[in-house]
Amino acid sequence: MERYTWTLRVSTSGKDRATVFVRQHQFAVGAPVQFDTTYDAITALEYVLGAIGADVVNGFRALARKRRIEVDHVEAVIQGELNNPLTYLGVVGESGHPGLEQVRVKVYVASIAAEEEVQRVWQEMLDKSPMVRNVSACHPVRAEPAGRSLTEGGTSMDKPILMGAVLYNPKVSVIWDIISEFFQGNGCPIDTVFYTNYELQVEALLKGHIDIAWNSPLAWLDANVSRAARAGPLPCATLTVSGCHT
Amino acid sequence: MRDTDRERVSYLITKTQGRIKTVEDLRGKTVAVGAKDSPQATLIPLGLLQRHGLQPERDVQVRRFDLMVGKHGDHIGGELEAFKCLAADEADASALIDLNWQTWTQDGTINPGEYTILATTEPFDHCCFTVRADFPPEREQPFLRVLFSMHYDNPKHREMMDLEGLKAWVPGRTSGYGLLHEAVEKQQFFAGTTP
Repeated sequence: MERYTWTLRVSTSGKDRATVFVRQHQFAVGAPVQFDTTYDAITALEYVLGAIGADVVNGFRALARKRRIEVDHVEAVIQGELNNPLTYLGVVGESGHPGLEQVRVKVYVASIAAEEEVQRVWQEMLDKSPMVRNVSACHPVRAEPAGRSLTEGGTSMDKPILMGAVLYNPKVSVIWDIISEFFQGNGCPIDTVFYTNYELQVEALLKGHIDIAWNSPLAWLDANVSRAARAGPLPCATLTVSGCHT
Repeated sequence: MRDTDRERVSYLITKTQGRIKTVEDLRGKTVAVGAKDSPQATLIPLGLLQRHGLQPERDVQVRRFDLMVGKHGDHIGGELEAFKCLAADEADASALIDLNWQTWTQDGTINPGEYTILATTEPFDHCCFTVRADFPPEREQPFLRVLFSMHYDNPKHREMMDLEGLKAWVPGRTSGYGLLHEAVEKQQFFAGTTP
C-alpha cells in the first residue's frame, strides 16, 4: 500500500498564536492549553478535542446515510482531562504528565430509527474513526527538532524577579499571568515559579532559587522562625517581609 | 500584603438551636476543623480552644478535614467539609475564616438564621511577600513601586485586584503573626506532632 501523508505548515504569528496552513485553508491556534475561560483564542488542546467531536458527529452522520438510517441531528459533548495540568504549568513537586488522560464523548442523535440500528452504526463509526482510534490507542507523538533555528541570539532584558507561588488550582495561574503582565508593562519583569506546596517554596527561597515568595502565614513562620531554630541542612538566611522596611 | 491580609479573624460557629452557648460548653464535644496546616481553619481556632483551657483531643474531640495538606488551607475545601460536618450534626462546632462566613452566608451555603458565631479569634494577618534579607534593595524597590502603583480606582487594575481579592496593596508587616506563632508552639506543629 502506498503511504499517504498529510502535510500542514504551522507558523508563529504574534504573541502566543500560530497559523496553520492546510491546502488552501488556514486557521489560527492559541496557546497549547489555557485555564482562563475568557482567553481570546482557541487552544491547541481545544482543537484536538473539537476534532474528535467533529470526527464523531460527521463520521456518524455519513455512515448513517450509507446504511440508510435517517438522522435529523447529531450533537456531541466532549470533555477532556489532562493527567495533571499542574505539570503543564511546571509546578515544582507535582508528578504525572500533561498528556490527555481521559476524553469523554457523549453523543445525542435525533433519529426515528430503532435504537439497535443507531447503536450498530455507532459501533461501526467508532471502529472507523481515525481520531477516536488515535486517542484510545494513545499513540505516542514523536517530536524532534528539525533544521536550524532561523534566528539566533537573544534580546537584552532586565533580569526578571523570580516570584514563587503555591498553586492549588490551575486557574490560579491565570491571576499570576495577569500580574506578571502588569509588572512587565511597568518595567519590572517578574517570572513566576509554581510550587506544589509551601515547604518546597520556602526551601527554594532559602536556597536563593527564587527572589520573592508569596507566602501563607504558616510558611512565613516556617521559613523565619522554626527553620532558623532547627538549623537544619538549609541555609539559615534571614528573611523579611517585602515592604516592611520602606 | 493585601489590605485583606490584615486583621482577619476566624470563627467557631454552632447551630443556633443547639445546646452549645459558650466555648466552655464544647468540653467533651466535637469540633470540625480544616486541614492540619490551615492557619485560619485549624491552628488558630484550636489555639482559641487552648486559650479557654480546652486541650484539643483531650478535652475536645477534633474532626479534621485534611484536604490538600501542604497548601496551608489556601483553598476552601477543608473549611467547607468542616461546615458540612457541623450541618450533618456530626460535630458541635466548626471553624472558618471571617471571609468565608461572609461569602457563604451571602451565597446560601450557610443559612445565617440556623447558625451562630460562638467565638471569634483575636485578629491575625494572612499572606505576605517574603524575601531574603540579602535581596538587593535596588531590585526590591522597583517591585514595590509597581506593586503599590496598582489602584482599585483604575478600571485596568480592578480586574486583577478583584481576582486576587484586594482593594489595595499595603506594606508588609510581621506583627500580625503572633497568634499563629503561639498556636503552632502550643500545638507543637513544627515538632511533627499534629494537633
